[in-house]
Amino acid sequence: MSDTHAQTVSYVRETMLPEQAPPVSEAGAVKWVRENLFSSWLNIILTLISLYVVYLVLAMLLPWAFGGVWNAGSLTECREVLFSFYKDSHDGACWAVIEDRWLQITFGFYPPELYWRPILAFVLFFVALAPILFADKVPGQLIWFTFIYPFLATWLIWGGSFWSPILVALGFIVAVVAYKVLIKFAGPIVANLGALIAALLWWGVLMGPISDGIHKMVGSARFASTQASLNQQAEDLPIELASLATQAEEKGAEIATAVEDKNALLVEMAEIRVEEFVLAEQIEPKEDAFQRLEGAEETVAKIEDLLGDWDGVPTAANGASEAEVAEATAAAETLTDYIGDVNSLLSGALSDIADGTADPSEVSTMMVRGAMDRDPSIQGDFDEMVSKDDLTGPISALADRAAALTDATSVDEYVALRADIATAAAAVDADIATLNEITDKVIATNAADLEAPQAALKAKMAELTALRDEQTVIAQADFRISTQQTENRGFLNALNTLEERETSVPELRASASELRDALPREYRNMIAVTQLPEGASSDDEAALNAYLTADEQAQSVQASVRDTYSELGRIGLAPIESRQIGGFMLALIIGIAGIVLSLPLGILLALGRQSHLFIVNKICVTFIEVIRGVPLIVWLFTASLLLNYFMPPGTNFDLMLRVIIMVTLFSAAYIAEVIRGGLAALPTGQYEGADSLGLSYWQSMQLIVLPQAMKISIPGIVNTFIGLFKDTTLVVFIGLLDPIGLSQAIRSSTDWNGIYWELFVFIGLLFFIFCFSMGRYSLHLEKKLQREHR
Amino acid sequence: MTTLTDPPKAGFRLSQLIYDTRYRSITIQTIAMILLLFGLYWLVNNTIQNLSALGKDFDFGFLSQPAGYDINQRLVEYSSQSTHGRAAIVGILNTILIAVLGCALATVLGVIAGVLRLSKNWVINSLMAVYVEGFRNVPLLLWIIAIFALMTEGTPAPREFRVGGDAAMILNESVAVTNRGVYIPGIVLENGWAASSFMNWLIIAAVFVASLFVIRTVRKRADAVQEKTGDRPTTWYQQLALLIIPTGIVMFLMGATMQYPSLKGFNFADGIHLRNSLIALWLALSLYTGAFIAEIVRAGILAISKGQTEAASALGLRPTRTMNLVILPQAMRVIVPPLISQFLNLTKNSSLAIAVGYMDVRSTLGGITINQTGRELEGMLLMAAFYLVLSLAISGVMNVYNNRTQLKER
Repeated sequence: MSDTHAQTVSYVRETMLPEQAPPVSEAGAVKWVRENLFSSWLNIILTLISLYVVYLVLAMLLPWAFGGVWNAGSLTECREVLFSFYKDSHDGACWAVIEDRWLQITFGFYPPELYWRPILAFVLFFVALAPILFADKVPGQLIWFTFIYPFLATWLIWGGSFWSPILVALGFIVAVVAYKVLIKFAGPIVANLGALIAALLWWGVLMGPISDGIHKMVGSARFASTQASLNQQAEDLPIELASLATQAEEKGAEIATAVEDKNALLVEMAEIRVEEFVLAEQIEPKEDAFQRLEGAEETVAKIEDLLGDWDGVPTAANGASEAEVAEATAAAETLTDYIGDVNSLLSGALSDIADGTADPSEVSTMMVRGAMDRDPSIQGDFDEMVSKDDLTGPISALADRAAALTDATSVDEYVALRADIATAAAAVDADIATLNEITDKVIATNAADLEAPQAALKAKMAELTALRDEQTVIAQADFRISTQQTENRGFLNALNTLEERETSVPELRASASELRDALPREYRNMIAVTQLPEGASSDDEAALNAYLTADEQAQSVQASVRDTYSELGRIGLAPIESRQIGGFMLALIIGIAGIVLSLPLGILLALGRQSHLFIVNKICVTFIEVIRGVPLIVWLFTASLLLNYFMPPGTNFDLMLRVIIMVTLFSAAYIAEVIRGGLAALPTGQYEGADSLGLSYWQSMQLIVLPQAMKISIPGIVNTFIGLFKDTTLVVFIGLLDPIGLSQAIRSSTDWNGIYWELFVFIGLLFFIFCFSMGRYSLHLEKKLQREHR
Repeated sequence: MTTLTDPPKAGFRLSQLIYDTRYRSITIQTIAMILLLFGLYWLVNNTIQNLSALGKDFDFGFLSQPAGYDINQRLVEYSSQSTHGRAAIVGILNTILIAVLGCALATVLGVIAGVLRLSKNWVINSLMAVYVEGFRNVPLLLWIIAIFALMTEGTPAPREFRVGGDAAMILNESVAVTNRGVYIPGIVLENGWAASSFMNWLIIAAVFVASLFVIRTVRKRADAVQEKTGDRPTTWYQQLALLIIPTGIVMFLMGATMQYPSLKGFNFADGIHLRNSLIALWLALSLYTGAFIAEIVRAGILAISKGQTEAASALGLRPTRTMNLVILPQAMRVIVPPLISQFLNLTKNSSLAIAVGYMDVRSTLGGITINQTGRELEGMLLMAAFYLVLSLAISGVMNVYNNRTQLKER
């Protein structure tokens, strides 16, 4: 076949044709655009719509964001500056609020001189995380730091004596030791229970007295020297305060001068601008009048339509049906209403122009003279304007005509009226256009004059901000020292009465127990008078009351002695109260504590849910479903309103701790579901393999199942964490100061009353950066794990 | 010679409870049960002690006492003389209302955004990516507050709508967007059959649902005919008529008329007033959940292998039929389970109504009622029970659907 073919073909080309460049529409950017943006009609429409949307949003947002003011002390100042630049205070953002308050949004009311503590804790968090996330890249010994970290971070953030976290950590060591000892004699169940009981004993019974004992020991040794140093400070602090007061006064004077300079600049700019303002005041009433005239025109058109429908004035037609008569009456009423509208609109327009505007000659000679000197062409524009009377004259004639109108008028009259109104409206419109032209020219001539004061204002605002920052530093120092002074006074007082209080404790307790013994046996365990049965005698009530009061007093004195010793014997960091913690720091603390604490609980719950033990399984399922079925906000309210009911009488602990407990339980249920997914994703062969090796349940879980299941679950855990981190904003409802709570607090201060978007944008952006980067990380992990599992 | 011997028949020893796997599970469960009972006893005992110390008891009688506060949005009759129980019901209905509205809008937004995110058009899919990431990574609470601020600060006051004012009604003079809320036209039943308008609407809804059932029968009959003969009878006009006519007749008989909002004095009257709290909560919940649903839809569609589409076109199916008969039924299987949990999340998140003052069950039963009666324990228990039942009901209904569409495996 091919042979014959070869003979029949007379010429065969032996070289390749040179490759040609593709057509323009099939290469490079054009091709990409054609394929991706304009491939079909639907696509073209969608592209154009979305480009338009993007343009609209950016045209609104970008000038606002980038034309914002960064230096100002309050919203009013911010608006002043914006006004001097743009004439409209809504044209720019007031970022000054962020400049002023970002530390507060980040740290809440944490003392500024101690910011290093949470920052250090935050940085160390990543060190503690490294052995878990990058086990292959960091030395294995670092895992010890991960175990130490929770105690270290708690100590850094809340402060206190250095042995407190160590004593808490010792509880775990006690548990391990108890387990190791017990496992030699008994089975794992007994050993586990024993370890748990030992640890609970340590935390519940032993730890407190030991800590108090150390405090007392150190405190007694320091008593004299502390007293002396407090006395010394009581002399020194007032001097410091006085010097700070003078500094504050000087700074205040400097600021007052700067504010005056700023106001002078503002006045100067307003003087330059005064012509623009006058013109704007001329334009506004004319625009109002124009709108009213247009409204009148429309209404007259409606009247014409109505009359056209009835072919003349609607009257109760003779011999017509009842319905027609009713309709005619209704139409006549509408007509009267319309005529009333036209009347009021026209007279409104007339009074707008008559009251609000001046003759062009007045405006030009008196008010815009400055601009006219610089730009003579403005005079020409003024010549184009018509005098005030030329505008009011026709309109007042129209108003008279409208007032004279009755139902009996023919349609032609209305047509003529409408034409005249249109003429008058056109005249007003032309006048407005001329005034706008003049305004544009005036603005153009003013712009050059404004440049210098605007630059000066910017510099002045920066200077003012710097001065205010210095003032804040002084005020903070003043606050710190005066707080210290009050605290010192109280502490000194406490030290002076310490011995007395300490000796009185046994007496008070003895008298309380005497009173208790005097009570009838069945009343001895009561904690409130309300618990007495209905028929109790008044003597019993009085006795119970006396006992309760004495007992309370004994306890409070004992507690105050302990507090004094723990203050006196503290070796470590200054203690911080939970209510001082706020802002992003609070969100991070609750989020991280919630996840870290809920992980072990979540693992146990997940194992329980997979377990074949009926009761254990049902307990876990119920717990998980109940927690997940109810919103977090209800749980938070439970924490703030109800948790105290569930605890033994007299327990009262920190709101933040209560929130952390609730959040932990909440996220444990979610983590349990994530880990259950990981457990379910593991091939059954892994479980069977572990069993066939003869491993016990816990061994197989610990060595075979959990390491693999956890690895699969990490992305899910990260996602749970993102959700939890966002949900920490809900604590604002129970009175903790998270970023949103702080934004409300900032808004309610006099300086920043009425500011919304800047704060929202800042807080939203911070959350976004945090959550988005974590989300990306979890995606990255997912991809990496997919590769490893293939 | 060896003889087979029975295993030694030792009696039950106590150590078997720990070492013998047959008995160990009983031991563990007994211990767990004891610990649980002890824990419950401890909690209940503490609660009783604390309650009696405060002079309180555990009693739901407060539900029948007069509430004494007003609720600005109510779907059933309620006045400040009504009981706390009635207030709780009003709150529950408001919660269900926002949940239903939110789920519907979130699904629409989510499906649109999810499909558009898969578009080859770069502008569209990056716009959708911005939407999805923007809403997923910022707390819902912030969105609710921001949208509420936008609704109250960025819209004109009702007086601006007067003649010569700066604002105007939209959509042919029927909708007014003001800083007090959105006013839309409403349907008024002038001579309803039942006493309360709520019951009337319930009757209309029942008729509508019944006609939906009839439509389904029509469709099934058409399916049967198609199975038998291969030709599908045209039924769309029957379906359309069934959809509109019965409900229309009932509404006509009840004297339904459209009522447009109109400016009376300083505020709008007539029509339906959608409060800013409702609008802000609804929009924020829908936009937020819609972003999550978009990701679910995208993942669901991506999960269907390309071979399915190719096989469908090899069979000669047109693209729309491929989508309807091949891709979507399979994608739904992947989409529905996470969609259920998103609906649950939306329902639970509706409790954030507190941020904008929307009167849901948390604001009535869990807020004002608790504050007025001091019944924290009872109120919180009832509220938690309500949310739990609602969540279980939603997940129950959706699980039925899920089981029906699931792949039937071995």
